[in-house]
Amino acid sequence: MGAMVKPWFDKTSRVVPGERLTIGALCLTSTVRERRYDIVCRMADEVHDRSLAVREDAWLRIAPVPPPLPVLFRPSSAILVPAGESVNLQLAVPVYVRIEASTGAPDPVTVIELPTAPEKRSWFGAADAGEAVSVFRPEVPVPGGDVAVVTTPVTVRNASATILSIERLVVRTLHVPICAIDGLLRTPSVSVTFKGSEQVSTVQYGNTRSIVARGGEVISPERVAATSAILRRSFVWLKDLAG
Amino acid sequence: MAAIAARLGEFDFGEVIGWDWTGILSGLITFVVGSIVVRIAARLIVRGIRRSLRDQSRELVRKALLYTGTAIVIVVALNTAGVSVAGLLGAAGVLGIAVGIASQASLSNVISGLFLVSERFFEVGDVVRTGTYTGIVAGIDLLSIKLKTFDNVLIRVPNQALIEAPIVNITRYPIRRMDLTLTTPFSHALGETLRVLRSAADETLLVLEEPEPFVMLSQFSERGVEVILGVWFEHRNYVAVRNAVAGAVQQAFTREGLSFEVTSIRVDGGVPGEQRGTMDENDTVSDNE
Repeated sequence: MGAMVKPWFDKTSRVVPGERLTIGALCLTSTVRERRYDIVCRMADEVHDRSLAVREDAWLRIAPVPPPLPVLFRPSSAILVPAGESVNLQLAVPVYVRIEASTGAPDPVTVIELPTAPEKRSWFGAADAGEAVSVFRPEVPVPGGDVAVVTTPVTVRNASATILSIERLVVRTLHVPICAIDGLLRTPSVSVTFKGSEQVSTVQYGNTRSIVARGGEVISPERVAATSAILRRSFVWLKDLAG
Repeated sequence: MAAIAARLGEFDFGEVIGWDWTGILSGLITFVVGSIVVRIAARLIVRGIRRSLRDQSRELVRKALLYTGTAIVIVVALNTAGVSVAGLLGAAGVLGIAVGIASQASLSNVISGLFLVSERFFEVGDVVRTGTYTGIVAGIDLLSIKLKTFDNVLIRVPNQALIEAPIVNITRYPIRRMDLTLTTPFSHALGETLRVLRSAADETLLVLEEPEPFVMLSQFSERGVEVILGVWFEHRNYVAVRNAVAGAVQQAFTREGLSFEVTSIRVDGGVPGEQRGTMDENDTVSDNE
């Protein structure tokens, strides 16, 4: 029986020099030469390369991390949620990869962070006070490829008295950690309660307990902890949920 | 020598000159200690209100506290030194009138500065344009603002001039729109031209998907059909977007076997729904930021 191949995002996986690794649309190659790592990352016409002077026992690791900006989703057609009802969505968010190198310090250093899918900018909210968000293409992952997306379960509950039409949805993935379970990446669930266009919605970010209890493992912590200030800001923008 | 020294020791210089050396020393100590206390107090007060005030307001409050405190310390120090303050204040009143008449322009700048700060139209770090100057606001003082231009030149603009002149705050809003005006030959189908322009905008990663890019017919001119491509972008990506959009349009037209002539590139800082007043019709790039 052959040894089980570790997925690229396993915490103990290391980049093997000379090996070519494709994650989503991102292709990574690394070579090691005289205490120097050369890393080349390609996506379409874009090339990012880094050279890193390292110790003899140095290693490189690739970790999945959430996108640094909120991610905008646009369903192909508006999702209508009647008053008092809720809808469960499984959103596939292309992960960023963070290449880390050991330097002898307790924590590895980040060499580079790149998206695994072509990323385009968009704007959410008013032009004089909104915020930048990411839009990924393709929004639907290609089955059979390397795991390059993290699934975020989102529950939207319509607590208002009118029908909620979800035309756009911004998910602040930077507030959720990434976990591995059954060879896939997923985040704790996010619950949104829509209370009407004139009131701020409430957002709840789940914790990792239920995933860990089912044998999952936390791979990357959240980029930014969801403090009350951030949540309050999120609520304000979520007024545009029906937008 | 010992005899001379003994004689000098017997002298009371203060008595000879007529000064109260003890009082002068007390005055000096009062001034030094008072100045230190004023500085510390100003710093503590500014630190206490730093969250509720912006940078320039905080600097103005600090200066006001410092100047007022120093003036009080000087009066107290003079009083301690035995100098008649009443006479000085009377003289200062007369002097104040004279200085006031002589420094009308400066006073006007100070008052203009207060209006500018209270208006909050711009703050330190914003990119503004006034008259022929465009630059980053490096400082807002009582008399003037300092603009650091993009070619690293520092310009001092008197506050009074700013009150009277139009000021454009280029970076006030986080996103801006850039309009690229092109002229294509009459032989090209208009629909095809608009489609190619829109696809070029969609291919440019830094161009925002929302607000949506737009393409429209501007006018028929002697040279051909004038069309406009408008794209929105985050203002910090200004240079990258400008280059990328021009490159994407060129590439898309070449790919489709179309030709064009750039009429103008114009960047506005408006908000959605704002109507453009005039359109540049220069043969060269009209925006020089």
